[in-house]
Amino acid sequence: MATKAYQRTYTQLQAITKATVTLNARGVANDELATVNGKLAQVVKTKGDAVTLQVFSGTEGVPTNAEVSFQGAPPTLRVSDQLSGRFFNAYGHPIDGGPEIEGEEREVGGPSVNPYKRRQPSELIPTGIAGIDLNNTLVSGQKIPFFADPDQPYNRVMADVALRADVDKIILGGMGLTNDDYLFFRHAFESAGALDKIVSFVNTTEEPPVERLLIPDMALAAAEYFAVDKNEKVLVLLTDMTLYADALSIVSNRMDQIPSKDSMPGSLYSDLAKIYEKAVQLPDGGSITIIAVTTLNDGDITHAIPDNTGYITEGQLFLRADPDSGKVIVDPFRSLSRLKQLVQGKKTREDHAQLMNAGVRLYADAQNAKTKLENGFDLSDYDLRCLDYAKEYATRLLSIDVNITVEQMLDTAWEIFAKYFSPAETGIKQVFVDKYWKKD
Amino acid sequence: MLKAKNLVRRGREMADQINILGDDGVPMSYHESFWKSELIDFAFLQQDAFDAIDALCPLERQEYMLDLILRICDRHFEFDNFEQCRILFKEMINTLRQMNYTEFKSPQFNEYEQQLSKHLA
Amino acid sequence: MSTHGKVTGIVSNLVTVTVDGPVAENELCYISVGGNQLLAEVIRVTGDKASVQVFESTRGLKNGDSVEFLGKMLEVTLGPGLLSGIYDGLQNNLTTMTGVFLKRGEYTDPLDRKVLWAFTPLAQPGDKVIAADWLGEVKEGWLPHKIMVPFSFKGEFTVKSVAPAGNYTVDETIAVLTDKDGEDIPVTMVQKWPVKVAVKCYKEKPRPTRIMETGVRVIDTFNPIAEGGTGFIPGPFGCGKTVLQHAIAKQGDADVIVMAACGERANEVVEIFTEFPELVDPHTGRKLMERTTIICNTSNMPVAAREASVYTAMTICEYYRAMGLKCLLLADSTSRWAQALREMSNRMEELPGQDAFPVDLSAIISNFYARAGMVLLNNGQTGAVTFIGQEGRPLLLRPRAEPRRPEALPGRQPDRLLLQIPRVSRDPGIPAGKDPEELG
Repeated sequence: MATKAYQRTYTQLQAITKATVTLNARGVANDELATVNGKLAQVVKTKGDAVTLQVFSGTEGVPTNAEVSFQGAPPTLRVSDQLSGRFFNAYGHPIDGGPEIEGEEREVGGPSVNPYKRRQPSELIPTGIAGIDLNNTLVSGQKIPFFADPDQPYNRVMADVALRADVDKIILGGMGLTNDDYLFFRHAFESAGALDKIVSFVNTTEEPPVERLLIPDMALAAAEYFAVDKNEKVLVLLTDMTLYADALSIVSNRMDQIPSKDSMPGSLYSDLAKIYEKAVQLPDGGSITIIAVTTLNDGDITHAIPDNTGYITEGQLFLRADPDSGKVIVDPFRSLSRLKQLVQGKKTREDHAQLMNAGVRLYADAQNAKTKLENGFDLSDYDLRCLDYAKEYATRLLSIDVNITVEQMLDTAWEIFAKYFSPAETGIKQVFVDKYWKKD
Repeated sequence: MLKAKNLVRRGREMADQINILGDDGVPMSYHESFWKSELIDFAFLQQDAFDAIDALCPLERQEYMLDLILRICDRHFEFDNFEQCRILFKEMINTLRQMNYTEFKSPQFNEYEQQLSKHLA
Repeated sequence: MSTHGKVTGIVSNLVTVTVDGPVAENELCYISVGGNQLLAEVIRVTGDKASVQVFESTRGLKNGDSVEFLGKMLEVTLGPGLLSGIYDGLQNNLTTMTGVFLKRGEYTDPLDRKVLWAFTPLAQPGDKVIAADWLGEVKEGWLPHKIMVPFSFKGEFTVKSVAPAGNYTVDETIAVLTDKDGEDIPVTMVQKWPVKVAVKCYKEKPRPTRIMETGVRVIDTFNPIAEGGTGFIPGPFGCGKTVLQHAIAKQGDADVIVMAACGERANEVVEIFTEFPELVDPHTGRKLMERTTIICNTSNMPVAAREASVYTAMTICEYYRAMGLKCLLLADSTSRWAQALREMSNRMEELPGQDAFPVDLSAIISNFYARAGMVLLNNGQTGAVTFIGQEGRPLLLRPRAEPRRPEALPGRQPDRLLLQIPRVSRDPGIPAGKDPEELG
């Protein structure tokens, strides 16, 4: 960062915690950046002359006489077409050995889009995965996380989704990625030959946790450049938002803030909303779609992080291992895409919504039959048919390794229904039954 | 209205019993009660907010449908086995749902109602 | 004359100001930063230090920045033209703002001052009138919009003159009133009212007697809600609260609907203002948007204005109620509002109550619910505000409002509406599978 003429320098720290330092300084602006012995930091609190800074890379080795220089501006990112195909760290500096980006310097974490200037999301994002396209259809401008236990292959599914989606740019915001995950993404993007439409901001587990706080803002500033300035369709991948929230709690804890549920800061909802609400369908055709990952602790969605996330995002995609089919499936009960009805039957065939409902309802009947079986009761003919149906439905439609068109998904659903059930048992509207039911 | 609530409540108790004792471990009347509550749940309580017709159900139509459903529930049915009970109720639920998706008192609606009337004799 | 101050501390949107004169709780002030004026509200005073919550981003704010106190509380502007309006929590008109992004410090007029309204007088010279009495009316869409004696007028007045029938702008004088001291006071179509004060210009608040038809079977038949009743829809995310609320907004039998999107998703608001101008009100055959006002403080907009949004919405409802109209207020959601209160309480380092919420939370919520109700106006007519809130966390926020049961309809018990929705509904497209055990 270039030294500027009005830069003010101090050398007397009053207090140091693992994540913050406090010193006396004047004329300091809220959110302004500073360096503390060369480490990047940001103003988070002023009280009289006492200024508290969060130090992104941690305060290890910072002495009380550390040199603190204020930069006079909040965090920025240089934006231009040169971002394409590049890998950056949390500060927006290249980590791929390439040159620094030339372009306009923009503040990150900027203002919200006026809700009235938004447009209703209406473009289908096909992923080939029926658990998503058929039951939880994604729409451009949507924000949706994967809820998954840490042992689920969520990064792999996310990479599949990104590479199959029909978008102009993919922006990866990696927070606390293992080196292996980082290399996986890099390899996946390279081998798909898609590198030129991908921009990556990466913080790995080897790097300090507080640095992660910058990643979503950096990724979304780049996304806004392409979506707003260039009218492009941008898909942003944020993984893992649980580790982002953990970093928030570290800082608030060091600032002695009163924690609310699960040791999270009271502002968690607003903090997460500021990120997710950047998803938008713009009037001039550009859009930002956010697909995130929120890892769970043993499937617990009542924890403050998934709980707050669920109230912000437009649904969630829940991955789980299904022992009956031996596949990892998109759980049809716990997953939801809130925007699906904006495209189902409009951008897809008319029978889509009814098939989705019937498929899930019958799958629920199979779960009841399974409970009966586990309790040692005799199963009726209907129960047995439900169980066979569930296995085929999970294998051919719910499994994450499915890759077919929406049309094929609908045809597959009709085929499976006809194999195990009568039309009345599916409860589907008669007009669709008359038109699509697979007769022998 | 209270009657319908009670029917749903009783059906739920029956479902618990069926779950504990098994399909064959309970009298046929338990199955009948359970399915009557399912009928109210699926055909009346559930409403499709994304369907142009079902999304809006005026009071007059609500009263009409509830009356029809309660007339079914008032009837005592005879079944040889619980599978027969399930099939009949599933069929009636399906017909009632088709009615919900159809314009009130349209020819199509009346036709579905006609199909139900044979169970109400 | 007015009180001034200087900024002496900043934590996020909580700013401490040292003041040079008297300040009042809930008084508004402007903070000057970089040529912008940021609106803020006093929430605590200690000695010469006032804590203010800023309704905008505080980025770049510095200690020493100047503050000017306005000597008034947060007010809404009331007059013809509110219907079909789309406002933020502070009643800025979002449709007249420039640019795609919200600009800090941009405040827009809620009413169009140029529109001519066809005025018909209702009062005669010599009439004795008090606050909220009707002086005349204009047609707002198809609704008769009464021009009233401003709510803030105390005591009895004599009508000196009323403008003849004709076209006027909202700022033209349509009546002159004489107070008991013989002073003439001109009245226009516009008045202001502080949002946190309930409008009590009515004779009495009797028990509601009529059912408000919603077109939703599980409500109307199993658990009807009265005109002037209050209800809330609790449930975890993804269970269909918003779908149900939108259904009620589309078909609820009310003259005026105010929807407060309080800390919710922007795309849900977009859905309303995309669909409502097209959809037809089943009761009148007019476009839904003509009877709807949207107050929109989405989750990414400044948290302090989130609280203001529900009060702004309620005050607008009370205004239309005083015209003898049936109003329905839908607030999504009160839990987001509670979280906003928690964030501020947290930053002020108040001792926390349960789950770190402020201890007076339930009192605040109860007071708010109590502003709903059916009222008997001074002229013998009735008006009603029915309030339905959404709740992410029902147990904490259950309002302690008195249950209201009309005797007129035996067998039906309009009451506080409580729909408990289980997490997994069997049909993903259907906002039901509601549990009648929990109803009422």
